[in-house]
Amino acid sequence: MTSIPGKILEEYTVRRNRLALVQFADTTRPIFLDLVPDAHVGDYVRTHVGFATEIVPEKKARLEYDQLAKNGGMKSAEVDLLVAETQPDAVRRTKQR
Amino acid sequence: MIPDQFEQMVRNYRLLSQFEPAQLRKLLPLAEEKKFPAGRVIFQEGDQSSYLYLIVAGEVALENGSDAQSLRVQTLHAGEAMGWSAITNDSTTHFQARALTPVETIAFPGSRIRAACDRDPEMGYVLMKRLLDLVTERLDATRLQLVRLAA
Repeated sequence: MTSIPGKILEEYTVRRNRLALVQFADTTRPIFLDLVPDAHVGDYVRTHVGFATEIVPEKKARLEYDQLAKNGGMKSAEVDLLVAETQPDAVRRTKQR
Repeated sequence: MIPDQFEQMVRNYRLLSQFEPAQLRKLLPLAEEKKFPAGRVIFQEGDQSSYLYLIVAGEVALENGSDAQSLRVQTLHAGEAMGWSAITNDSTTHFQARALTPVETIAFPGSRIRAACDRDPEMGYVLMKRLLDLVTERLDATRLQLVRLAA
């Protein structure tokens, strides 16, 4: 269950589930946060089959991105995008329906 | 306002999204992502079914028979499951499943999920209830198809 960490950009609560928009390189996808209750916007998470399974410290995430970039697995620009600070307009705190 | 993709995600993962976190932690390590191109036969009637699949994107035709004369019993969409025979003792499939579009699934190896349910009967009970709903849907679809044929 290893994957590159993704960065949480937005989070939502839909019925009883917590979900997030998570950025992986140049793509984003919705991910369940139910297994990582302490994860919030700006955190990095490792995921498996649509579920975040652990929070990854930012330093460790950066190291993994650097390693991937060195191996040609991810373009530098994509790494920059991932580790860039979350912009205020991209941050939306949990909204309860 | 919650974007539609999140509502859709909860619907597409409905087999899993209502498990308690402790149960999910036992189920998810068994799961694999499997993708199929349009037209691919995912399993044939009479095969030994290895996986229980949760469809998270795309459409699958469930057919009776495996030749040109096959009869479509049901069209499955994201959020539905297939291959439940994998978790029965006799894992012979009762239908053929064919991808109508590119299909993305989460696949659970039947033998491993059976063992996990044996170790955690409470989790197994939740899963079996969901699968019973699935089998009921399938029976209803088959009955509807029979009514159409008889008409």
